[in-house]
Amino acid sequence: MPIFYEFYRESSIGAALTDSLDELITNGSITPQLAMKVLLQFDKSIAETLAKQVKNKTTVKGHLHNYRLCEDVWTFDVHNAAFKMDGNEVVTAPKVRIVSCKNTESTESK
Amino acid sequence: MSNKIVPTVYRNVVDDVMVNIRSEFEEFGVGEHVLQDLQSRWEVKIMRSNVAEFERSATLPSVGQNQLMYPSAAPPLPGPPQSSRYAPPPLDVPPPLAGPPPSLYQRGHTNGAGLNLSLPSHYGMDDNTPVKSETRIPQLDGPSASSRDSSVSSEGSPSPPTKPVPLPSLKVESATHVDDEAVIGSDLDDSDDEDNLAGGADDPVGGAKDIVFCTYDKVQRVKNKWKCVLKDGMVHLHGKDYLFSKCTGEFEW
Repeated sequence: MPIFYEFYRESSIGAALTDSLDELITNGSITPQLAMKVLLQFDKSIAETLAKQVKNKTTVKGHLHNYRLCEDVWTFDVHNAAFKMDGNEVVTAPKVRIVSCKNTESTESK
Repeated sequence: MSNKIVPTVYRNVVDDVMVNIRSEFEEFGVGEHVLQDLQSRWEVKIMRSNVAEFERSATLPSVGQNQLMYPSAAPPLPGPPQSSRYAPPPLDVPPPLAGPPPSLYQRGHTNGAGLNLSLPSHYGMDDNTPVKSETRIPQLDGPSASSRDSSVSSEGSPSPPTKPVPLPSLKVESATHVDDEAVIGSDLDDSDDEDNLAGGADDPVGGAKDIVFCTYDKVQRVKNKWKCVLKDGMVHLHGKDYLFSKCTGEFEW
């Protein structure tokens, strides 16, 4: 059984799920244990869906303000980041953080 | 990198989670309606996040179901958070949320009036005792608390915005009085603090934090030039979400 990263839980869709689960725990509808099962399923679903359904390629350039490698997780703080969009449109951000876990796909049988 | 595919992909993620978690809900003895409740809450939050152009999904009617269910639970609204602190009431909480409840609640289910009669009394007890005992404490802090106290006891919980500020000591004990959104808001603040701790001063960015979650294939550096190959990314920029399969990053340090 491959391991799926938990860090996508902090994305918009992950936070929306986490908040919903919190509400259901608070009003007594579900137990924290069941909520944890849901989150584990989310980790799997988001990883698989991203891998299978997203094909878009892009580039990002910018000034690397800060970087860190800890426990196989890279964190880049990029200033004046420029992301190239679908139609060659460029979206810039003064400061963006990139949190990146090691890609395990190559080692997984998938 | 695309924003257009976000609704489709998120839709599929929600569906995939819901399909695969159903058996767990059954194993835990949690009814189908709770699963639907979870889905509708999740979808509403995703849509409200406004990270992409979401169409109103076909599953939204389940929100309507919730609204139909809630009225029975609405009068004692201050109760739900509190009830989790008391062991016995949670047994009584599910029925108002539950259309078709488990066998435990058959007695109440067969006769709706029985539910309505029994619940308010529970909630009434839960509401009154803790509210009074807890609001007495802040009275010691100053004379102004008396006026506030009266409003609190008369209104119950619906006046959260003013309370947490003047009564920080109360907040911990009676966090249940603060409505969910306020609690969530404070959690978000905390996470921002952690981010600052980790990487330096990011606060000038303000509330909207631009962040990318992704995996990496390789990260290389030659002198001050960094090159990395990123995969499976979820990008949050200017309040919008973007997804990419592969992203080449080139940075100078």
